[in-house]
Amino acid sequence: MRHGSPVSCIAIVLLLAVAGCAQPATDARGPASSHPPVTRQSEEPPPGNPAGMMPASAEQTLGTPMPHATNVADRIFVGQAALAGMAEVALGQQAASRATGGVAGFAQQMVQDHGRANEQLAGLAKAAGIALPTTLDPADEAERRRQQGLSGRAFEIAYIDGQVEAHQKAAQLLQWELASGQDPAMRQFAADQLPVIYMHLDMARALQTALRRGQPLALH
Amino acid sequence: MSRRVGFGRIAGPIIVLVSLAVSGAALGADPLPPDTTYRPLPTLPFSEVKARDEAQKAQVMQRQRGVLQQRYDLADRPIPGVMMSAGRRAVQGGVRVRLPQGVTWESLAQLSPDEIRQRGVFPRGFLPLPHVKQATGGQVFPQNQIDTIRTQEARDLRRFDVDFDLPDHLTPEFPPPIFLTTQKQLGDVSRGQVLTIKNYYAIMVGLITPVQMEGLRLLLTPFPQEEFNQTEDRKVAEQSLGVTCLDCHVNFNTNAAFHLTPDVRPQAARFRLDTTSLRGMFNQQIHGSKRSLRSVEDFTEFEQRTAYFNGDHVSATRKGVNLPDRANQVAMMAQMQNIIDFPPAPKLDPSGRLDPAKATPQELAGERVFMGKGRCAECHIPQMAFMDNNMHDLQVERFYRPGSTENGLVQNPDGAIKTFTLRGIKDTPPYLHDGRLMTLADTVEFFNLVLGLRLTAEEKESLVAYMLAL
Repeated sequence: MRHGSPVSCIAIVLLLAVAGCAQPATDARGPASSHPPVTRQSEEPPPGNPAGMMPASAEQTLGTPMPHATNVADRIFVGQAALAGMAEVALGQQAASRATGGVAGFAQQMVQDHGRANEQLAGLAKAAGIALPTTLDPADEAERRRQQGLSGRAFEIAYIDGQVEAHQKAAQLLQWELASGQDPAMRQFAADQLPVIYMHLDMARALQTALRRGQPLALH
Repeated sequence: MSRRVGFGRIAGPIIVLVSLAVSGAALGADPLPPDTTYRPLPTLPFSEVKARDEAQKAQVMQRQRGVLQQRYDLADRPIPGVMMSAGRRAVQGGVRVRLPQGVTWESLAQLSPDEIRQRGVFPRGFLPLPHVKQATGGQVFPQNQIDTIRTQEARDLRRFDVDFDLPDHLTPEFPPPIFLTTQKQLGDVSRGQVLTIKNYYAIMVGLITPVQMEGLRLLLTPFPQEEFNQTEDRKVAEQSLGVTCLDCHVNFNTNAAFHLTPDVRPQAARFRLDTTSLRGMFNQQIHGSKRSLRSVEDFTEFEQRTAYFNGDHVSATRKGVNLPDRANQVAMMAQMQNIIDFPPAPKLDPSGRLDPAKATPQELAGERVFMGKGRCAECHIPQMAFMDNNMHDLQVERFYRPGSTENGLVQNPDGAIKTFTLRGIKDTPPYLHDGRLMTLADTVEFFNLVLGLRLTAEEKESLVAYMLAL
């Protein structure tokens, strides 16, 4: 019983998160096959600051870029987001097979959610004519190997610490794209993803706290 | 197996320590792009930016009107017989925040924060209010201020990308009266005019000291600002001399001009800032809704980097920052601000409590709610000019899921915000640091939910009546 309440807290967090991700399948717009894990249908992004548009950008009307016409921020964003997404899946797969209980469940969800987001991002990049990276960033690969060399609780702590940091950074990157980007589809992607990233971050922080306190994480 | 467990027992803590030491820098080699913190430089020439901004302006304004209409009832519905202090504008009444379908204020107040969040029934008007154009942000002045400054100074405060978004009747009276602590016997000394660099001397000579006069001159002198300056990175048609302190804090009160907070990044997360009144500055110990600067001297000095340049000293230097001299200029500006009084509140006694001989039964009932069940006085302490010189986190995010966006603004938790005074509160709509609440009745419903007060309809009405007497 002493350990009961943190476990159920984490279980509730995970359940909420799963429910939040399952919900949009019924009400999100777009093709049914490739739903991003969005919790709500976000608004169409408002006009950006034209001071940040690409010179000679293709426009529908003055100041309204053609669909998938990108600026520098979009291009930086899509590359950084793709690298982060790939790392999420790679580290998540490793953790799903090596961690236990709550951490394994979290890792499995990261593989699913980020896998779907990565597909959507790849579609946006393709539409914009941007080639995405195909291999893990060397730093992420080094981190994957480092985690591979750990086991037990040390492994779980390393994975979850990295997840907290990665999701904090992802939240800032998505918010940056929202105001600095030009391509409405990419900005909408950022708006859709942000609540999901916050939810992942909350889950990771809850797991981190429990791990640090040495509390059991098994889900029943 | 037993060996492995044994190893874990001994070496486990060491592994944890090692992983702690190295995990910090491991993920994501590249840092975030610089303009998540710093202001980016324009990529297009000024003329091309201006043409695009002008082409987009109608759409931008229409979009913001839609946002406001969804959040609020913006109708002109004054409280009969209740005027602001100079009698130039009626005080608007009624709850203006729209309810989601299927709930009433009473049914909502029965739900816990968790239930409200789960059901998604937190009224939209209670969420952070977006700037009219989040991606650009910056200072936006109401039309009456733009017209006055154009007439008096031939200085242009009109932006080509956005206009002010609230109807006049939901903003403070214009021009507001000026009350001086040093000339209380005179009452309003504004002569019904907006103080500007062109008229201030004739209006104030004989009323204030030489030091205060010099401070006032500086508060009325335009200095370059992020959207109003001489570079290509501006949102005003001609090269601009800039803006003055009192362009927003008109006559030391407010005209509801708004901005984005300088204290948050990235851009999409910067919340709207409604201009605060400078009345009662003499009693205010912390300054800036988020910065909590400890003196008005500090605030006055640092505003040249914050309100003027979004908290980006790099941008400030590029566009022509003005750094006032601490011993001379800053001190003088502060001394001018510190003699600005609250408007008269004849029903209040010297300690800020209602005089039972002058107040109505409803106002007295409102004061009891304010001091008791309403918990207002825990922060808005009457004897301390209805402040506590502290910052508080209302944790409004208990009622919604952070991270969704409205008109480009990411709805993040506000965190700690300073307590603002309630003296003269009827003169300074809209309310809260971002102006998300249009009327005093809205503030009552907001705090009824946020603090879980479960006030009755009668108690709510009495609170509004009480606040009108402050």
